[in-house]
Formats: sequence, C-alpha cells, structure tokens
Amino acid sequence: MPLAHVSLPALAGAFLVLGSTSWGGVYASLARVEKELVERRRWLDSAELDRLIPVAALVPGPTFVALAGLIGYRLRGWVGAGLAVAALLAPAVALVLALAALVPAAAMTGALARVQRWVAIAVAGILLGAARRQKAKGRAPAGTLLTAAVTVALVAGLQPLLAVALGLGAGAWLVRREEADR
Amino acid sequence: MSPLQIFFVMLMAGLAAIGGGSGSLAVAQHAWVETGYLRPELYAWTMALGHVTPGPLSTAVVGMGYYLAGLPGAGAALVGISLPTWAAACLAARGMERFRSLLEPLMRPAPYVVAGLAAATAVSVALPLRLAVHEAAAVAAVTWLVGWRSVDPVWIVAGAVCVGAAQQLFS
Repeated sequence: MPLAHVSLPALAGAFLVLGSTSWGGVYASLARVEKELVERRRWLDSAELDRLIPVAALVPGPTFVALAGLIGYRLRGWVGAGLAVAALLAPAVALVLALAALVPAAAMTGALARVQRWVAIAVAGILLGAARRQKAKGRAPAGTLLTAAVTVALVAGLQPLLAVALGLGAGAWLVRREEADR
Repeated sequence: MSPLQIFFVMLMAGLAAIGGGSGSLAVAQHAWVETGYLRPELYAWTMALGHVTPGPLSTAVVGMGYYLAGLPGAGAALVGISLPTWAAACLAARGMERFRSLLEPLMRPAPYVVAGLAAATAVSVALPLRLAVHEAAAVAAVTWLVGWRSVDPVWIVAGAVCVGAAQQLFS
C-alpha cells in the first residue's frame, strides 16, 4: 500500500490522541495504534505496522517512542519523526509535571497504590489480549510455537535484541518451509 | 544535579536500553536514588505517575528530572531519553526502506514475534503483583475482552482506576 500524504498538523494530532489514550506501554497500545493509524486514518496498512513493531523493539530507548519515530519518519521524514515523538510524549509529560509539581508525594503515594495495582492488573490483561490479537493475524501452524518460544525466551532473561532477531530468523525459515510444503 | 548532568545520564540510559524504556528507569534509580540525589519516595511516586498516566511509561523520568532540577531538569531528562531514540528510529526507517526486499522475508513472522513480546511483558507486569485469585480472574476477563471482543483498552483502564479508587475509599 503506498503511503498516504500526511500533513504535519494531522500527524501531530494523531500522535497527541495516541499519547492521551494509550496505557501500559506500546504492546498494550497496539490495538489503539492500529485503530487510529490503519483503520481510521489509513496512513499505513496492518502489514506495514506489523513490520515496524519488531524494528521499534530493536531501537535503543522506549519502544513506543521508537515506533512513533519510525512511523513519523515513514510518513514525513526527520521532521515527521520528531513531531510524532513530541506529540506522543506531550500529554504524559504535561500530566506528570503537573502532578509532580502540585501534589505532595508523601500524601499520595499510599493513596495511589491501589489504583496503580488495578491499572497494572488491567495492563497485564490488555497485554495478553494484544498478544492474542497479534498472533491471530498470522495463519502459519507453527505460529503458536514461535510465539510461545519468544515468550519463554524473554521471560527466561534472553536479551530482547536476541529474542527478536532469533524469532524473526527462525520464523522466516518456518514460514518459508511451510510455503514450500504447500 | 545540573540539567546537563541529567541530560547525559538519560542520554546514556536511552542508548543502553534496547527492548524498552524500563532499562532507562533502572539507570535512573542507580544514578539518582542510590547516590542520594533523589529520595526513594519521590522515585516511587514518579514511577506511579508513569504507570497511571497515558503514553510511554518512561515519561516517569521527566518527573524525576523535575524533582532534581525543576523545569530545566525535566526538560533535560525528556530530551536525553528521547533524542537517541528519535535519531535511531530515523536511521532504522531509512535502513528499512533501503533494504526492503532483503528484510521482507524476515518480517513475515513479525506478528508472532510481537505476540511473544506482548505476552512476555504481561508476565513481567503480572508476576511481581502476586495476584490473588480474584485478581487473576480479572486478568483473564480483560484478556478475553481485549483479545476476543476488541474492547478499547481505554475503558478497561478507566474501570481499573475506578476499582482502585473505590477500594482505597472504602478500605
């Protein structure tokens, strides 16, 4: 799918929306990113987004920020990447600063603990749901095995860089083999 | 601590954190909390803010920068953590365009690898919580709602905030 022509204000607006409505990090927010950029605005297709996500995981720094940079660059070059990153971060930065400046930490740390716990519980479920939706995009029979292998490797402590590289390499070989068998 | 020092700590943290920003948060703890620049309760508070506010979790470092050196410190932390990621993302995007035909076969299994990344992150979030039975059931329910019913996660998080706030109020 050829990339849509996207204006800088529209790019900033999209990532402001994402930065305001996405919780729990990039993997928990994949459904939102897809809904906003693929389904609603049609700036890229699902396959292109799926290609960008593992690359974002390999880029140093926060993966969500990396994904914004990748998408912004694909759409509008260096400036687009900077704008996407800034717009993604702006809502959270404003909120964190406001709360840090106005709310006494000692008064709120205990009060926020239960909210934080339930948000973490929600995020765990959102992540598992996102994993299921991602896995459902592919039709390779060995896909479940690959997903499980990557999960176990990461939980066991394998570096994300290695896990992603090995997963993509092994997966490419498996997919190619299945296509040859068919 | 000066804004310039904050910037360099975050710059190094960002460059070293491959696979997510949690490495940056660990660097911040080591550089600021263990050395006594930042009180542990302020570190914990900004981490909590990072979790309950939308967007990337790593924006917690902006709060830490604020406590260390006011608004200039917050700005320095923000630029330090996002600058290398922005530059590396642009270079990676250029590389993807240039080597598209070579990378295409490698990217076909991407959904399975991303599913693995998401599942592993779920485990890393859930394990330290030591979930009670009803909390594990909540995780399962949310998984079904998001994974099978495509419920928007915004509503899930809003519900979680309400549950947590209600628990706090009535406990």
